[in-house]
Amino acid sequence: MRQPAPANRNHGPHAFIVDDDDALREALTFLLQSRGVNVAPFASAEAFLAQFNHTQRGCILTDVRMDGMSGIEMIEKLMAMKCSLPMLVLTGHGDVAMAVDAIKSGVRDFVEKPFNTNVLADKIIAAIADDAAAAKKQSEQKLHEQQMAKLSERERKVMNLILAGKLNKVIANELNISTRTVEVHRSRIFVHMEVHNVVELANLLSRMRS
Amino acid sequence: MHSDNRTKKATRPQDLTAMQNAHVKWTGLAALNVMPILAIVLLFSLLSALLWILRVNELEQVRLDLVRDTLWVERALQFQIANDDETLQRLAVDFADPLSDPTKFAAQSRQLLASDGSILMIARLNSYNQVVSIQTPNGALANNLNVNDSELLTRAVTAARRDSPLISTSPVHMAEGEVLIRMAKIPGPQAQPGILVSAISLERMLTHNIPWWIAEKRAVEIKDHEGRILASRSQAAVTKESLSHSIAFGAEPAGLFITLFAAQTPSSLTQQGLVGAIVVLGLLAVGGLLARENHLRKRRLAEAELRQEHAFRKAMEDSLTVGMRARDLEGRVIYVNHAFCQMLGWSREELVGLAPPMPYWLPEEMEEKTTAFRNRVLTGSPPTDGVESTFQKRDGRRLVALVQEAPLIGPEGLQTGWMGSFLDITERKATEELTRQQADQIAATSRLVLIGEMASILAHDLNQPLATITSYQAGLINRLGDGTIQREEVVQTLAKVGEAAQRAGHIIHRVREVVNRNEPRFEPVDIATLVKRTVALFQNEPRPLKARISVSIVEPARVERCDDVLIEQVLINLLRNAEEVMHDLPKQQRTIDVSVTTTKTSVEVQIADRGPGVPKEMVGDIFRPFVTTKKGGMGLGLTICRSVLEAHRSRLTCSPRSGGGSIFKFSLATT
Repeated sequence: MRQPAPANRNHGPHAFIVDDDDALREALTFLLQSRGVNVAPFASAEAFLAQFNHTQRGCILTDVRMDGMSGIEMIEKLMAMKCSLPMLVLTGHGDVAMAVDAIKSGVRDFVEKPFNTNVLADKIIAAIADDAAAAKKQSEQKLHEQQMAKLSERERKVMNLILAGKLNKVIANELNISTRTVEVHRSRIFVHMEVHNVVELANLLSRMRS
Repeated sequence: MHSDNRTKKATRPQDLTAMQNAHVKWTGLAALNVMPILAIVLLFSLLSALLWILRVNELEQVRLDLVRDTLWVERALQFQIANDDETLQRLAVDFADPLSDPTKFAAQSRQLLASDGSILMIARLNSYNQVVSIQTPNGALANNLNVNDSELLTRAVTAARRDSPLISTSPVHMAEGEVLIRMAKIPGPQAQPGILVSAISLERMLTHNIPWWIAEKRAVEIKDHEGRILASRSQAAVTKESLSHSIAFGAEPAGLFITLFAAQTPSSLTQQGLVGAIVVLGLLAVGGLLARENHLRKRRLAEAELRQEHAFRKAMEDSLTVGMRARDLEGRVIYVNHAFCQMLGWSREELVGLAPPMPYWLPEEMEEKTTAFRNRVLTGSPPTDGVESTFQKRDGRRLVALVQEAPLIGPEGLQTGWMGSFLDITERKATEELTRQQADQIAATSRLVLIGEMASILAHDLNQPLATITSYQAGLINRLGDGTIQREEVVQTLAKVGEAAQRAGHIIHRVREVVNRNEPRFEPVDIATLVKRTVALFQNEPRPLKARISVSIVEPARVERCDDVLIEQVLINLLRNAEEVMHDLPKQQRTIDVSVTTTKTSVEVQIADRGPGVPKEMVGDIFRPFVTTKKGGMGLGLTICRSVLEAHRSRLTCSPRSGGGSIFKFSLATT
């Protein structure tokens, strides 16, 4: 089950651990690695923010109380940067109110110390999986958007009419063009959208719209 | 508020009547002042009127007397002259008789002269108006009498011709004074008859013919028609202003007037004396009145001052919020002020005259107070420095007052009683109590907050190593399950687990260091002194329950190693506990027995209460932290006590007390 660590840390999903307590950070690293999770540990919020970019995938696990920038401040900054990574917060005794605020501002979950270690690991793994799914969907959508961009105005109209289930003849009649021309458009649409038939095209568009 | 109104209603009409009374008194006083003056004035005027009437009457009387006397004198003089004339005529007739003896004439004329001293001389003139013979009282001829006066002769002739038997003339001035010349014709056939002439001195006439009783009170004057005084006799003292009466002689001597003057009567002198006396009396009366008025005025001023002083004192007294009560030496109430009555709810009339036991003493303290009263007040040593005492109002409410007594010294300088002031401090006490409770609560809350904060810090700090340990533990299990871990890595990981555990231990150690920052400082201490001092300190604390503390101490009780500050804390803690567990008992039964006993090696301190005792199921737990039987207690007091005593190598024990309650006991080694 344990996956080998990737050669480049910046590629592939990671658990980004931000905690100023060295011992705990190392222990968490050890724990997560034992569950096959790639771990990128940071000793402070500033260190994490300094290297953060939008291509990073995985999830963020941060302590609330830290020297320097606090976990909550860091989360607010990331939100402002439209970071889509799922975020988990480690809270100590008496920080519940702070954790609730964090949830409201878009944090995925919080874990109270002392925590059940395997539950924490499970939550991180689930978060990474969710992020991967979201990332996949995001990249697909991006692809389709690029494909759609290749279609001309007339082709997009023809595509909508095809999706409405109309025959080539009817489309040609409606657009006041020849059936032959409709057929040419149709084949071009299929090529650009990388589909083989109307059903695939309909599925693709419904996925894009959801 | 209600009673206040009542007293106001009660006092107002009194004031009014007092004012009316004052008014009546004033007019009465004015009448009293005016009346004697009026009486004196009346008396004076009546006396003056009486005197005036008397005077008028007297004057009238005097005048009448004078008139009578005048008439009498006139008549007497006239009679004398008439008599003289008659005698002269008889002599003249005798001369006419040729047979008559010439010696007889001489004898007769001498007789005449003798009978009337006022006749200066008798002379006989012949028909040729020649003096034939002359007779004087001395028998000698009066040479100086000029009878050859032509007028005299002329008159005599005229008279003779008229055939009148008697000739009289107007008074004639002679050396002897005014003289009346009387002539009688000697009857005969001859044409020129002889004439007898007599000269009567007016002066002498007055001397001889006025009796002494008239002479002594009247001055007599004879005047002619021109008002010239011809003769006068004034034996009595008269003045020009004296009363006078004047009449003309009826017949002879014609043309003359007689005037009588009334001499000053001695009666007027007595009258003057009388008037003087009355005046003096009146002056004395007025003087007396003025003196009395002056005295009254002074008295009124003094009274006004007194009234003002009294009103001032009363206002002062009524405005006092401090209750005042005076007692005589037997303890009987002789005076209470308004504030005192208001404070307790009894009226002044009800309180004055009362003797102990007083109705405002607390029912449960009656005996105690009576005894205290006998012991202290009657022996003359009541509390002069303020003493707090609780009283019961008439409506049953309680009142805490600060009572202060001072000796009441009478005007002779002797003590007549005691004056006590009562300051109502019920509210102050209540406020103090409330403040104390609030302070206690704040202290308790802040202690809780502090402990909460400490627990929070502790929890957070311990969480870190604990989370570290559990993470390594779970990770290790995972790796060992996979079989992907090498032996060395296991050892390294376990070493890290050990480090985390050590770190947790450090945190605990640090907390204990903070807690134990104040190391006990051991010194030789006398536990007996310490216990006494601590009990006194405790008794001075504001305590709502006020349990009685009895102390039994063996002295001295020295120990070598003792931190007196910490042991004092232990004692205070145990005393406070002992008092608080007796919360539900009545006040008399709340007693704490503190004892200090010594053995050869130790000093034992014991604090026993009469509370409900420690519940059986908690006996083993009461010294553990956060275990308490008190509502709102923290459960740390006994724990701290135990820690302190453990530092003293001692032990705090708790055992049930026979007869109810608990005994807390510890002993300290002497060496």
